[in-house]
Amino acid sequence: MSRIRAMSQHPDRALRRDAYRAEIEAWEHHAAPIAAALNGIKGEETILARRRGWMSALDQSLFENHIDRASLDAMMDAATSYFPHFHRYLAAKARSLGVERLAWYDLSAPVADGDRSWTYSEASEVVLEGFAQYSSRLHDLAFRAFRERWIDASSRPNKQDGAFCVGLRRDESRILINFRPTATTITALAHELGHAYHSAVLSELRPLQRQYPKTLAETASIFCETLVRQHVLDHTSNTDELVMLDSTLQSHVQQVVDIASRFLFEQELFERRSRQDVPVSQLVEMMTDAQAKTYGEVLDPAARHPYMWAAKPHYYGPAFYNYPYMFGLLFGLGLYSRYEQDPGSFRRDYDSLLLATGSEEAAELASRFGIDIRSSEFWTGSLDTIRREVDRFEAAVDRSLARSAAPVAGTAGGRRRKKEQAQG
Amino acid sequence: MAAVFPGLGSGPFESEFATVSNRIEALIRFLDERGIGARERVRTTAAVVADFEHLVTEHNEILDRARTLAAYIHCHLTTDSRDDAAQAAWSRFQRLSSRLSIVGTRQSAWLGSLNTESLISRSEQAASHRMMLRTARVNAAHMMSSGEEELASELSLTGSGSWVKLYRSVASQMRVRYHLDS
Repeated sequence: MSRIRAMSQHPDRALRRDAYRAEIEAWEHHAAPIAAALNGIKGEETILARRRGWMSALDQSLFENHIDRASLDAMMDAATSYFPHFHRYLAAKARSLGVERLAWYDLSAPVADGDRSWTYSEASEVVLEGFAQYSSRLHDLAFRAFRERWIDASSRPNKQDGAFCVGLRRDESRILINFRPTATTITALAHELGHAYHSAVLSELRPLQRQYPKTLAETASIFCETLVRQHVLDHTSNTDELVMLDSTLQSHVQQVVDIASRFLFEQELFERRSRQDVPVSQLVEMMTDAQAKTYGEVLDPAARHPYMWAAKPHYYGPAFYNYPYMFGLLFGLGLYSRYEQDPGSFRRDYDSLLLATGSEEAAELASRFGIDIRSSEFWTGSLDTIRREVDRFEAAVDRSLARSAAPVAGTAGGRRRKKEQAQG
Repeated sequence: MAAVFPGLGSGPFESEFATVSNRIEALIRFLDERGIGARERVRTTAAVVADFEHLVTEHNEILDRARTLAAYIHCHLTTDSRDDAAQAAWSRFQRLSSRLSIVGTRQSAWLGSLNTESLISRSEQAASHRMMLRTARVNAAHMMSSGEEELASELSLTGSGSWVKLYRSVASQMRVRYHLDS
């Protein structure tokens, strides 16, 4: 299945479509036992939350994630009001791919095939440069991680896909990534090194003092990723810019739009499951309804993903293992915009904020930077960062399409373009 | 990773595993001896403060060492899913982890019965673990009786735990028919 799902990144649309159809067919075939598992897990969570005196499984989850209902509502409302900007990105991506409307199997499709390739050493250098612009402490931690070989980077058989960072001992971490010679490796490295930095800052505390919730787990990783991405975008060619922005916005769509769909689905699921078992037909209907409310008509209604409740393992763990991702992204972006406004003060206070992630509620922590996470103003500020990336992506797509419309092979313009792509 | 242990199953690795395991069992015995678990209101006596400080010190030490063991095994497992030694070590670690979770649950239940502010005023260590105390207090207020909690914990292995296992098995082992129409 993972190989089939990985084909969603293939440049050939027909191949992506066939893989998507095969995937849907497979989930459909196995839907009955998976739905039984989902009903069993959510049923148990509902009963235990009630017997333990929680108003709902969501209330329990909010407590465990150190946020309150007002903060969640403010974030979700702000995200919903920004869906039209995400839809603009999806429409621009459709234009870039030359299709009228995106299907589910186009969401991860590459928008350009001419991006420069990066060696691991080049990617590491870029990350170090980006970090050095922020602080020597961050740079030195990353430099140490490379020098002491904390990172397992090569992609090979029997190695887990994706990326993660795990704290090992004292201020040391270990990182797993699967290197690909694209710009996305740079952001993955920066993201995981951000986790390593968070862990190093926290190492002066004892384990019971540094147990931070999932909502705050991405505070440093998103910040570091954004830091390096901005550094790359400031020194990049047109094609790289398009690829980098697309990769960023793909991830933002997942963490805002798709997460919102998963949250809506899970709310409905708990509501129905408290009364009775929820059959496959209803799960399918609830999933596509949630996708319609979040992705809107910009995503082909005939090609949504009715089995995301089966495909995403997050539903089979703690309740509402979704909104913390959106919180992490938007909180991290909000902090980055504070850094842009006043780098000096931010540098002075940021490490103490990271240090307090295990000892303060998210709202208390945010107030250190004058942020009120219960007001939609903060969240719209973060979403504005994404809106500007969408603007920039639209402009990059327009430039790319204009270049494609210009005379090509054998002409001066065509030669210039190929040279630019080759040099990156 | 060789800087941490020479390898899975090496003398230093096995020795550390045994040390962590023994310290968990010793801490559980301490909880039994001192009656640490779900209780009616407990007064903040000098003995209670001493019990708290011993429990937190030892729990922190175990968590630190268990983190290194977990990360070491996890890194082997994720970089080579066919590493049988890593699979076996992970399975052993899960048993150890389940014993450690008993300490966490009983600690929370007991802390919920203490007067947190009084404890903080009498112990610097308590003051530096303020968030843990606050969380434990709310958790304790949302616990069922100790018998019910124990039953729920045991049944979770055959309840939600089994459903999760079923999901993972089906999702990871399903085969996909792929016709290349294009």
